[in-house]
Parts: sequence; C-alpha cells; structure tokens
Amino acid sequence: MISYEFLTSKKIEEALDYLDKFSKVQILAGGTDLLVNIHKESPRLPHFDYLLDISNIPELKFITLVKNFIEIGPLVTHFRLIEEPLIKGNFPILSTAAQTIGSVQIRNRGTIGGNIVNASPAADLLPPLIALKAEVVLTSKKSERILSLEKFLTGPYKTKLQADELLTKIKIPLLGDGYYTDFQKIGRRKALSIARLNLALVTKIDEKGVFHDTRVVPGSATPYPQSFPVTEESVNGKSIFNIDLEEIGEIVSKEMVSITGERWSTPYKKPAIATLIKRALEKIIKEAKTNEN
Amino acid sequence: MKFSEVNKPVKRVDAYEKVTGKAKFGADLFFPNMLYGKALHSKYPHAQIIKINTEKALTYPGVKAIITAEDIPNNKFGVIIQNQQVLAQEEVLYIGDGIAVVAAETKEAASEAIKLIEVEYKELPGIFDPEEAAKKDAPLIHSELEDNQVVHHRVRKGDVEKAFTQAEVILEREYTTQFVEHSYIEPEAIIAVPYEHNSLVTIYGSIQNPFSCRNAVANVLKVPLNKVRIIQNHMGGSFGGKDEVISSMAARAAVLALKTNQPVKMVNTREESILESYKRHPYKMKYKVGATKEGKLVAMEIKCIADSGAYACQTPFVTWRSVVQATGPYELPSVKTDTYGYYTNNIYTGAMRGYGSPQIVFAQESLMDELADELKMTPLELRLKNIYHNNSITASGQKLDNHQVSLEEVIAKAVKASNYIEKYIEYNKSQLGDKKRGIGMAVSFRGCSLGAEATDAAGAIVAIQRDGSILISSGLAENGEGLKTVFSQIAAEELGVDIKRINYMEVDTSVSPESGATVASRSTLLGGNAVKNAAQQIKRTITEMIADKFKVKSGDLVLRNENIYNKNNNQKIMSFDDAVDLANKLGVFLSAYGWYKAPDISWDEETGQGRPYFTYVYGCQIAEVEVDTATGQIEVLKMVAAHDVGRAINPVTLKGQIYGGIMMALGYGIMEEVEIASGYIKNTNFDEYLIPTIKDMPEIIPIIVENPDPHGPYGAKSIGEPTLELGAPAIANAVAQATGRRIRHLPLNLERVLLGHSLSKGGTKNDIL
Repeated sequence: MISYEFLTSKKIEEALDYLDKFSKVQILAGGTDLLVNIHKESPRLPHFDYLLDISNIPELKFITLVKNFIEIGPLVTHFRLIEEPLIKGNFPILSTAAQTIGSVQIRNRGTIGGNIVNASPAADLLPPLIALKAEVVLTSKKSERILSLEKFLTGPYKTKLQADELLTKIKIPLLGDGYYTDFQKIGRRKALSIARLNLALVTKIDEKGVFHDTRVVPGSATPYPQSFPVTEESVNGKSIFNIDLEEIGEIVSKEMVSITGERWSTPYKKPAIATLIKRALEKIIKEAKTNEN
Repeated sequence: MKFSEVNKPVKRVDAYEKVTGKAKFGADLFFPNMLYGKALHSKYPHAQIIKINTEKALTYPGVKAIITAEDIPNNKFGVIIQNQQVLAQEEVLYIGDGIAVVAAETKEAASEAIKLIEVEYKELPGIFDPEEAAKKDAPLIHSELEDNQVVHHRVRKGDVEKAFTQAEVILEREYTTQFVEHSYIEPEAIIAVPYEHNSLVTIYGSIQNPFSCRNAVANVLKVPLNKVRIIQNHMGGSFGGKDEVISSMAARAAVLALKTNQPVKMVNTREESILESYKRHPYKMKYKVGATKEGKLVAMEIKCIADSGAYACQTPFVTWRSVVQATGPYELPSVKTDTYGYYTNNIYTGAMRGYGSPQIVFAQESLMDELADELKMTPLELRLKNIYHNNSITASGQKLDNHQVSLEEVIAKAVKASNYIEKYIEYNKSQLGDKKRGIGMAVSFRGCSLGAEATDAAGAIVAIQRDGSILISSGLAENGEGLKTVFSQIAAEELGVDIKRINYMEVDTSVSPESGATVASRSTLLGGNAVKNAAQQIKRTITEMIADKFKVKSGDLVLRNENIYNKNNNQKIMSFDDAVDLANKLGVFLSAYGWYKAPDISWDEETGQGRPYFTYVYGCQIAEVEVDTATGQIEVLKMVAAHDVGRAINPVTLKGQIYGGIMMALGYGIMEEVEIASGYIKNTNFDEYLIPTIKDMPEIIPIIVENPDPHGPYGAKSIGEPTLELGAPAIANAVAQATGRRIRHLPLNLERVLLGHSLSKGGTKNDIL
C-alpha cells in the first residue's frame, strides 16, 4: 500500500505554493491513470509523499479563443473535447480522438492535461495534439514557460515538467484555410481499448490539389508519440490526384522501424501502420475532392 | 398444452432486490468482531518451501493469527481426486498456490502483514506444456503418483484403420485453444463464522455449489457434515468458476475462524482472483477425418490433450464430456477418440461454462468446414449429409431413440433467420476493399446433466405456510441464471397458484436437500423435476383431503387460478386459501420433500460405449462477420442462435442465457486469453485481460425450439452451456470465408487475423510496445 499526505487546493496560486513548498508531490487531476497506478503500486509511479488534488481549481477548466489560438485548460475533460463547439469546429481530429478514449466514465473524469502529463505511448490525445502543433504552458511560483508539446515529451511516461511546475494551459494554433485532419485507431475491442496503434494526420491541400505542411504522428508505434518527418516530406508536394498510397505506407512502416528497431510487435505494426496512413490519406483526399466540386 | 405459470416470461423473483441494490452479496456481510483474512501466494510456479517465518508478520499491529499448511487438519481436498492443497505444504505447484493466511483486524493490516512473512524457497524447474508432462522421463508434478497423467478416456467404435483405407478423402488438422478466465463480475468472497447456532462453523459467501463446499470444509476440518453449515448469498456470476477456488477459501477462513474464535472474512481482489482461480482448459486437438467423395463421413480419429495445471480439479470429468462429444453430432461408423489430461505447473484448470465442449466443438466444426471446402461442398450440405436424426447411433453406440433429435430443425431455423444460403453465395464472390464479410455455422449435440460422471439426483422442499404463503428450498443454487424464478414457476404451475405466494429460500446446507452441484446445465431438468415432485405430493394431499370431505373423487379435482375445481363440471369447490385453512384445522401436513433421480445410464471406460447421457440438446449458431483484412479487426455483425431446449420454462430468462452465452463465446473466439509464460500470469486484471464490452455486442437473434423431452419437467432440458460452445467456431468459420484463410488457434486476435500467427510479447508486462 502506498501512503501519502493529501493536499487539495481551489486556486492555481495555492497549488503552486504547495509545489514550491513540498517536494515529491504527485498531481491528481482526473485520476483515471494515477489512481489505477496507485492501486497497482505500479513500478511506473515515481515515489511520492504528497498527493496534490487540483481537480477543484475552476481556473483550469476553460476553452477560449485568444487571437489565433484556442486555449484549453488542463482540467478540460475528454467529454468536453467531444462536445465543445470551439473544438469540434476547429479541431475535429481532437474530438474524434477524445471519443475513442476509454469509456463514458473515463471520458467524464479524464482530462487533457492528465493525458499529456501521463505521457503514455498509447495516449489517444497526444498524436493529434502534436500534429496540431500544440504548446504547453508550464507555470511555477517563480516563472512561466512555453514549450511545444513535442519537445515537452522526452520518453515513455516522461516529460520535461519540473517538480515545482503545473501545466496550466494548452495552446493550439488555429489551422488556416485548406487544412484537413484525420485520426485513425486500432483497438482490440470497440470500447475501453488501449490503442494497439493510432495515427493523426494534419495536412494542407492547396487549390491545385498539392499537399503542404503535412504532419504525421502515430501513437503506440514508437516509445512516445513523435512526428514522422520522412513520411511527412514524402507526402508534401504530392498531388491528391496521383499520390501513391502504397509507397507512403511503405515509407511510414520503414520510418517506424528506423525509430524502434524490430520489436516483438513489429510484424503486426508494419502492415497496420501502413493501413492507417493510407486510410487517413484516402479520407482526406475524398473530402478534398468533394470540396473542390 | 396450456400453462398458467410455466412457458411464460415471468418477471425474475429476485429482480427487485437486485435492481434496487438491496441484495446482499458475500462482501456485503459484516459480523461483530469480524477479522479479515488475506492469503500469501507463491513467488514461483514451482518451488520447494524450505522455511516459512511468520514471526515478524505476527507482530504487525492488528494481526490475530497466521496459518500455514501445518495448521490445516487435512490439507488435501478435491471433488474427484483429492490432491489440491489448501495451503502449500512442501512444494508450491503453481503461481497461485497459497502459502499462509493472515487474519487481522483490518484489511490493510492483513495486506501489510503478508508482506512480512518470510518464505525461503528453492526454485524448481517446472513443466508448462502438457505434452512435455506426458513424456516418460518427465519429472513428477505429484511425487506420490507414477506419472503426470490425470486421466485418459477412450471411445472405440468400429475399425478406424480399416475405415480410413476406404476413405476417398482424408484430412488431418490440429487445433488449439487457450486458457480463459471466467470473469465473473464479483470476485470470490467468503465469511466463516465460528460456533453460530449449533454449527461448528457457518460459511457465507459467493458459493456456486454449497454442498461441494460443505464436503471440502468438513473434510479439511475432519468433522461430520452436520457440523458445517453453508449458506449461499447472491452470486455476482460464476460460470462454473466458484467451486474449488471457493472451497479452498472457505477451508482457509474456517481454520482461521476456529483458531481465533472470531468470524473471518476473505474477499479476493481481481488480481488475486485471476492469479489463484482455475481457468478453462487449453486443449491441443489432433483430428483426422475420412469421407467419401459424396461427403459421407466414414471415420474419425481424435486425440485431445488438456492442460490440467497443478491439480486434478475437474479434469477427469471435463475430458470425459469431451470424449463423448468429440466427433460432433455426425453419424460415423468408425471412431477412435482419446482424451488426456496432464498435470503441469501452470495454473490449474476446471469447470467453466461448456465443460470440455467449447474446445472440441471449435475443432470439429472448423474441421467440417475444412472438409466441405476440400469436397467442394457447402458447409451446410456436408452437415446435412451427416447429422444425427432420430434413432442415429452415436460414437458411444447410443441409439438416440427416446427424444426428438432436432438437429435438422435447429439448422433449418437458423439458416432461414440468417439468410445463410444467399449470404454464403454472396460472400463467396470476390469482395472489393479491405473489409470482407463472411458467414459461418456451427452445430452441436450436448448431453444433459452429469451423465456417467456421477449419481444424478436432486431434491427440493415445498412448504405451504399457515396463511397460504409458500416457501421453496432446493439444494441447487441460483447462480444468476434464473433458477429461483424457474423453480417458483414450476411450483406455482403445479399448485395452481400465483407465483407471488412463493418466497424462494437461499440454499442452506443444513436445511436444503443435498442435490449435487449446480453444474452441467442440469438445474431446470433435475431440480425442476424435484420441485414438481414436491408440489405434486402436496397437490395430492390437498385433493385427497377435499375428496374425503366433499365426497368427490380426488382425481376429479384440479388446482388452478388460486382455486380448486371439479374438472367434470368446472365448479369451484373452494379457494386455495380455504383449502389451506381446512388443512390447518384438520392437521394435514402441507409440506413435502421432492426428489428426482435421473434415468439410468451406462458407460464402459475401456471402450467408451454405452448410454453416457439420458438425453441430449441440439443447437445451431450462425455468425456473420466483417473482417478488416488490413488491420485484423473482426466485427461480428450478427449471430443467430437456434436451440432446442425441450420446453422454455421462462422464455425471457432463456433468451438472457443465449445473449450471455454468445457474448462469452465472442470473447473466447476473438479476444480473451490468459497469457501465461513459464507458469507466470501476465494479465491479472481487466485492463489487460480483455473481455467484450456492450459495444462489441452484435445483433443477436435467439430462436427457441421446443420439442418436449419425456424426462424434463414439462419437457424442459438445458440451455446454459449449449449457448457458449458454438459461437467461437461459427465466428472462425465466418472469418475463414471472409479472408480465405483458416485460423486453427483461438483466439482470433488482431495478429492471427492479419498475419496468420500470433506474436508473443515476452519481456516485461509493462512494456506495452
């Protein structure tokens, strides 16, 4: 049994005070990962002496449009990502991904901030957030810094979050005109399913039907979600009318293996990841062609 | 036949307390001064125990007692072969073996104290493959035995060797199935209360078979049966799974309760439950079938090897059902079947819904489709050419002449409802895109009740109270399937009263008549007949009493609509309540013990010939699937299930059985597997052991077929297990049609469907990549 002192606060300031004053503090948001790990006494869980419950801080529960960014509070639940018009309208990929997480109960409790900080290789929100070039705002009593989400992640279940820092905001730049997004996921069952593999695709298609600024981020494919630059470059410049999807599939498989090496699951993931990128591209191409007409 | 209470969708008699949360389950019970028990499990799948030191643990605050094997009066128990250790004595034989149990004032203290128990082990090499265990020079799992064989059953019919020389087509195939967890929603729970009323110990809890549990506890304590009282609570599922594991827990709790003279409660966590509770047997099955070009089967040779794990548990009987049913419901002049069980250091295996049938039905029904393919026939044609009909002779030489053999009927109904013929043709054409559809069928026959395993009889008490209310008690136990409702319906039908008069009692082994175990889909058939018998005795008492007083013939009196009528003129003589009043006044006894003994059966263990079961049920399920051939995902679109049940006592609860059985089969077929590597279990909770959720549930069309059986109450037979044994092969056959590739190993997971073989994780279980 893990024993700890329980701290709770209703204000960011107070929470930051606690983080400043105490060391070995574990932050509790939705608890959908943390409580399970505490129950299991998971080796993944670092030793901690305090549990800081931030779930009652109203200041961390917003979704707002600020200039060219949508800003999201870390306590926004998966359920809100699915329902919120600002998200659905601007980043449908995020709503789609949130919809595939766990069960109704988990989507009602689990938060975007928790999904980011837990940094699971199979996290369903990380691939779309990275593909959307999301940034995280990390606040401590003394300072505040902004990092791109991709840089924030450093390994499986590892981030650059400092002991005295709290994730206070997620900023996602609005996509300009001509952008398309898609999210694909394979699970072993239809609900309550950890991704066997997932993939987020964001790309811009110009009036001639040419791909630009493509972002490809698979999940559960690499130790932690990251962009696949080789694949992205291989899509950029191609046209929706003659892109060779088989070739892109092969490239994404190779790029995955170049990162992970041959693992026990590679024989499955190689063809499967090729399928996911082909399906994402097919869907986007179909949409683009419909828009053209 | 017109019925007033049976054959009707009566509301469950236990619905109210369950949906309102008032029903008490094992873990809900509390007693004054109650202690909490926690077991320390082994660190290794196979090891010698050199030393156990409990000194430190005993000093932990709140700890009252710790027991080890030394404290158990008789440490071996078992329903069939008594070789399961209550607590490991000299050796641990599997990873879930218990070593010591702590009783403490709080759950937390008990959990912390077991960590302080120091065990010195000498790790021993283990055997984890039953075929390794079968080798002559294999080390012995149980040193007192001559070899590792638990059992060997045979069926010998005709001359198989000669028959194969006459076959025009011969197919040889191997199939395997996996370890599967019951996944009851309620983990094991037991409370042992010492010296309550006049019993030495009273056991409450989540107990599938109260009488098996009483046998085990009394044997372990070395006391007479009448000193041990078992009272069953509501069950959060069992599916065959709360037998030996619960007996073991009850025995441990009883020893601790007597040692401390305080009630002791034990409730497993899910991890403990998966770690120590027995699983469904994995089978390796070799099938050889010979047929003529026209598709008439001429011979079958079958060898099945079951992994029994550390203990015998139910392996002798599980493999016996397999040997009887291994050919499937097909006429075969020559058959040679051998089923074996071997001890290994894997987790032990026992009863689970199906009981030796899901494995062999998967093999034989896959084989039939493969043979049809070979013969360029449709799976339906091949089956229709070979299935049992009235008066067919089974592989065991039994002539099916005492009931309606309705295979053709169940197949026809399932085929029609699923549009099988058209869809089979449609899906055989080439399909565009990654997503391909297929349709597959599976059929089976299944012996009802215990068969030649054991004496097959059951009892019930029906007792009319002074005010006309009625109590029923039976030795068979509600497991969630609806037994209380069905038995109440039968009593109400016989007595011609409203079911609302009846209150159904929990099983109490000191009151209820011993009826064997609630297993083998036998309760409606055996227990239903016992209830009927008791109610008929009371009916006779009432009619004789009235006949005497009103000078009419008792045979002319009928009980219906809460009244007693003269059937000749349909005149009401008196109400049921008045009849009860009259009996009270006259001192007439209105209670009865009902008893039913199953018809005789026979079995020759050497040849496997005889009448292994007194009757059978028949079923056909058809699955329609869509396979994503680029990811390996299977979506089961639709399942049609036609089952001949003899008579549906309650059509709604019966459909519930069909829905549930199909969902369990879907899990068995495409996702469930207890992953075991060198005896260690990798997935000990439902985050990693995946079972289907409601989102995976396909459209299910249940078809109830009724050919009343002469032996069943109102003709009723069985439904619980038949529903489970057909789904996996039907799905596998549909997947094979969709993909053009046959998978002979369960489950049909993503990797097998996409690559044709499974991938093994190896390494640490936390490495999700």
